[in-house]
Amino acid sequence: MATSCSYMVSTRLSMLGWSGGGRKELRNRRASFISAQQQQTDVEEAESVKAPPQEEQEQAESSRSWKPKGTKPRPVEPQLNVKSKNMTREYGGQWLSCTTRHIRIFAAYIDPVTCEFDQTQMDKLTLILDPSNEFVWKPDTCNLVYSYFQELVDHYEGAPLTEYTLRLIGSDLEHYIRKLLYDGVIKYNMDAKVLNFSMGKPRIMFNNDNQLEEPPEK
Amino acid sequence: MNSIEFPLLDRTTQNSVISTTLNDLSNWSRLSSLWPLLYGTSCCFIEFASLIGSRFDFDRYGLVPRSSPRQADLILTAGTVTVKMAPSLVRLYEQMPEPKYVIAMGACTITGGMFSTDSYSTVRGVDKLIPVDVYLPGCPPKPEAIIDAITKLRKKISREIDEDHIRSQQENRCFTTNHKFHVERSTHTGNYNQGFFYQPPFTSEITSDIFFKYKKSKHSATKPSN
Repeated sequence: MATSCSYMVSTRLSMLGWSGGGRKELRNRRASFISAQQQQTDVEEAESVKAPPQEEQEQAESSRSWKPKGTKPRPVEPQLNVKSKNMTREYGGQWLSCTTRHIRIFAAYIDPVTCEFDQTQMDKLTLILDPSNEFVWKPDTCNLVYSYFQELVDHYEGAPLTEYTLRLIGSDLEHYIRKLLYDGVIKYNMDAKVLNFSMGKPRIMFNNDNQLEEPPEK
Repeated sequence: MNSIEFPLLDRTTQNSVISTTLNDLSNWSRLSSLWPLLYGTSCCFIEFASLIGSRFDFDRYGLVPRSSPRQADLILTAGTVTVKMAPSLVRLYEQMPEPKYVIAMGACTITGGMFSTDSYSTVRGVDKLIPVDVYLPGCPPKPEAIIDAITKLRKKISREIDEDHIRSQQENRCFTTNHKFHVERSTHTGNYNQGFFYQPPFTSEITSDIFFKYKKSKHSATKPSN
């Protein structure tokens, strides 16, 4: 165990060395590029002047001058527009969602007023219900779906927080909405921009109770 | 019919000449410059791409293909949408600014097409993900059929009434709940050598010197038999 740990530590150090070596390589490459350019200019100057001692002097000067240039890399410009918080998965760095036509579940907190999306609140799931308004939603029908959503989340307690579980919950919720539609609890919104009837064309009686005995029209 | 409802039935649209003319003007400007998103997942995109060429030029309808969803106002879902691609498609659709239109192109995006019977990963119809304005059947539809769908979409846009867009409720039905899911530690720590030093649980209890001692003893045990 001890030997394996020390082996890991040594490789980590070597990893650091490798990344540092990479940077050194880049620096050397830049230095060699600069020196190649200067050598070209030196050669041109030498041809124009045609004096060997001057050439040697220039070469010595260039060798002296490119050394400090090679060791000082350009400062990294601070990136102002990038809002990377360097978040790992544990702090909410992963976008987890389940998105279908009527159910959008996100593993984040979405402010209902400002619609601000906060991914760092890892213990919350937000459900956005039917953003395209395919159905007519009233507060009591919304609460039916919300309570079923809470039941499902409680049922999946202890499951890993992955897109797979979110999609299982989303799929169950879509089936629940379809059941509500067939029971007549919710209705299609005929004033929507598009009339897709994605959960089946409207029928006279989905679940034939004791009323009309007409066969359901499709 | 008890499964449909007209929530805005009692609206009163203005019938003045000026507002209808303005409405027609805005509709005309929108339908004459529908910029489609360069989107294609499968074979239907080949037919869509042939529209960009000179034979079936769609620039004459004002369609200029845009690569960014922020600048597009039409998305022709050309190609099968799988379960893996579905959230990306929804994200692209959400990134498009209003007013936006969707043409479901090809049999795969209407009902699942040839994948509707036995596939485990195809979404049976893109209207399960995004609202669709025009359905365009075909497998794949000919470029002339795509032009026909665009013409039908233009006619649909010309019939739009602006007040409907304003009056339709834009309520945000948001609901947040706490969950008790287990957040797993990420295995992608950025260390490439992580995989080499993963210790499966049963060997971690055996230190390496004990392991070598055991190996030696095994070797010595088998030696006299040789």
